[in-house]
Amino acid sequence: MCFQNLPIEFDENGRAYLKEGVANPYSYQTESLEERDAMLKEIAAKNGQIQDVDFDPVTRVAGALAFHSTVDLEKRCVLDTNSVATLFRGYEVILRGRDPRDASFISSRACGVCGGVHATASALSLEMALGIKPPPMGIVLRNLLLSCEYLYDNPLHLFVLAGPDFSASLMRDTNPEIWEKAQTAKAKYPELHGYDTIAEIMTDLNPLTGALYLEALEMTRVAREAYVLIGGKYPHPQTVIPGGVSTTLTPTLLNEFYMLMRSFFDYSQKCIGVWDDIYDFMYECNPDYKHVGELPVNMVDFGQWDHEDYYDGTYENCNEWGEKRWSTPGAVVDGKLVTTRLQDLNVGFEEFVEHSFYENWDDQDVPFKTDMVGQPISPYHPWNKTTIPRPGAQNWKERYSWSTTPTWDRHTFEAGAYSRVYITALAGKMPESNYVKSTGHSLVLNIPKGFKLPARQLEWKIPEVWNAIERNRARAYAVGFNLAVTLENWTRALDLQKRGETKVHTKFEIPSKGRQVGVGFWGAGRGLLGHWCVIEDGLLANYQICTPSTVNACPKTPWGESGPYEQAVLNSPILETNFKDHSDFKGIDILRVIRSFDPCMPCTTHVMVAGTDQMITREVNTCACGI
Amino acid sequence: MTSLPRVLVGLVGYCSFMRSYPFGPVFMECLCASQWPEEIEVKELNWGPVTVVQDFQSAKVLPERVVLVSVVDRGLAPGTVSCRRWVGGKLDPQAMQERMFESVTGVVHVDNLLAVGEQFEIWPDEVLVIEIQLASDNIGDYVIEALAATGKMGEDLCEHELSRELQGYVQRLATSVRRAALEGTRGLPDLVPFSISQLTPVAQICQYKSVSEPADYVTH
Repeated sequence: MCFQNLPIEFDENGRAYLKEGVANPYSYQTESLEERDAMLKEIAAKNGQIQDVDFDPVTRVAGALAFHSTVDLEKRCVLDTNSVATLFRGYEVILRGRDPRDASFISSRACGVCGGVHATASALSLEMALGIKPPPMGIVLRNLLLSCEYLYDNPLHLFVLAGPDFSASLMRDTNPEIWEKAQTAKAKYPELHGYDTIAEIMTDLNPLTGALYLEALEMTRVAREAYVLIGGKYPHPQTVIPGGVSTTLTPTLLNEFYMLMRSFFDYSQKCIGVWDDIYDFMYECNPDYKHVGELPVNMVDFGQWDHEDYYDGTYENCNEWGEKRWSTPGAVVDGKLVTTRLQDLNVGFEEFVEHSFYENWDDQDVPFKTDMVGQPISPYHPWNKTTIPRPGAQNWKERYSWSTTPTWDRHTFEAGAYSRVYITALAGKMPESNYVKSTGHSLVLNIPKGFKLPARQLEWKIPEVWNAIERNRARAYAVGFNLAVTLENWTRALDLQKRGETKVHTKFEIPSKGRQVGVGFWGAGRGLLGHWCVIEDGLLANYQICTPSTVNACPKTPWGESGPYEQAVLNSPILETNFKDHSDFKGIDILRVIRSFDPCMPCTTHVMVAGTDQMITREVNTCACGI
Repeated sequence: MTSLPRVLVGLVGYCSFMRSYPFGPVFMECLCASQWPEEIEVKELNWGPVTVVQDFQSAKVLPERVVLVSVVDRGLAPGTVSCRRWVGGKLDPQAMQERMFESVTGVVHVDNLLAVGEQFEIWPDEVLVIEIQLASDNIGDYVIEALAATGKMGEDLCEHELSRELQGYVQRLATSVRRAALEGTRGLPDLVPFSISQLTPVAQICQYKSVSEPADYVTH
């Protein structure tokens, strides 16, 4: 029983059905945010600190997200939050009515750093709709491309975007007492990174000049070069298409690819060592860092990296091929893995727009009551969704974001690189590999000998608490995980090549009549990615994309549950010490929380200081589009 | 006859050019249609500034003169072509890191490229920046109007003709770029210095907003 909120049960064959006797199984109660607003005003009236929290944003936006917090600096807590996506992208509208073959190329433009994953999710969606099974080499090369994207994306976030928050220059400003301790604190893992003290690591995390910062920029280049070897171009490859890839596999291609990957053998160990040291040290300095960005573990991931022996592209078999992926799909609710079946993830998936700048669509006359195997799906499922933009003034009590609110089993959830590490570790279902093993409570990585470092086994263990630091720590291990999956698939590509199985693509045709339906269950550097398509008479009748930042940055559900950013910030203590009042308050703890999700939009945080009319604006740039 | 230095002419600012679509593509066609000496390379630099920096860092042969061409909104009269010589300078680390954030988060803009290039010391002595100010219209507005009128999204919405006025701008800009590429500072006697302190603030780049006060540099 993986559903606790949707009225869905399973028969003896594991097939979902709607509980009998439920009149309106997908109805929900809408909670007015007026009540929330009134509650905040009541608090304000009692302590005299907040005059009004309902302010218009000053969107000094370097991209597409604003974030508003109301903070009590005396009590060092956050009173209210709103996460706001400020940009309408509209790929769903652009793709409607187009030739399905356009979908990979157009949807790819959704992101510059995730410039391959959208193309791949789109290809998978069409493969399902049109019954296309790529050849083994096509699947394996696609996996290698994905790994390159992650090897580019995750280090960039760790060292260029989030890393400066833990650098010497920042720490001196916000928490000088921590910087002081760092001078003498010995690093625990010098054999992985070569640093003697924490202060040395923090110094090399300094933006622009720090060795770790500069090295990360260089490593992103190596990963992009590896991608281009196979994909021809990055971002927005033209080689990722339904049915596989259109790459020409030459005899030397895989060797050249391997030569670039070798740089990551040492680097993945270094990433893990550096961040283990920094985060362990932060906990030692102040155990309250365990509460910064703390949330119950609620996450969903579709898994990715298909196994060429199992993937057939069909919805009917997706539970089986999904569980054979090199990262396991699944839903974790309050720390417990409740399913690893892709059909369950699809059946429980819904998207709401009550607090978004979109019209509600007609939920009575939707095209799909069930999925392709007869299991119930919601009127709010992406296959039933119609994107109807409704721009308007921002109103915290009504509509305030261009992001929608995805839920699984009627709850918001997290998505991230860390989710694939977490769920894969917890599930214990990944196929046999020489490089990576899931134990059910950890992920064991076998990193080969590099240029300087010996081969080493490293283990990510499911943490006791889930917070900003653990999100980032899991992301550091994700670098090793990405490498392990890369090596596994590289070995498989070599084997296929030896056997002469070098076909990379399956031809297909698009029927000019009838309806075909598909979903691309995939992942981006930042977590879950889904592309749902409906093709009618040869054209796209509906196309819906759900990105990880939509999941994490979502506004409140119709029933008032906050999205992950909003919840995580609300749960955070303020541990910044070096400020007198709002004038020199940096808001670093809030920024660390938001950055821990690796938002795929440069994001601005506005902090409303309780008891004043002051608003502090902080940039939260984390996306890596277009580097 | 004096030999030419190695010259790179780079078009920068995908978004800026796109706003006046198809000004950028038409201008690029115009440049590519010209006969250039072999020492001059014309290419798009519509990549993240870090990528451009890395390309410079790995190049076997570096250009001795760089001409950066862009459409930038600096609050000038539409059609104004400005030519400046980059003189660099230093930003404080925090301001520079903001530029880096913008650069790795997808903001392709000549100001960011100049700043990030300066940080990583890729620029040769002679960097000329040629810009044109276009009227505040954009393809998005055009598409929205057309969509409202026709009620449908079709391929024909993107078939947006360049006005006669904009065609004239293309020619004027191309003339300045050609002179800058071939003759460098000698061919542009009215060049004024352009330093890092004169860059458009980051937030204005990102919001695509006009600078309220017109710049005070020489225009042509």
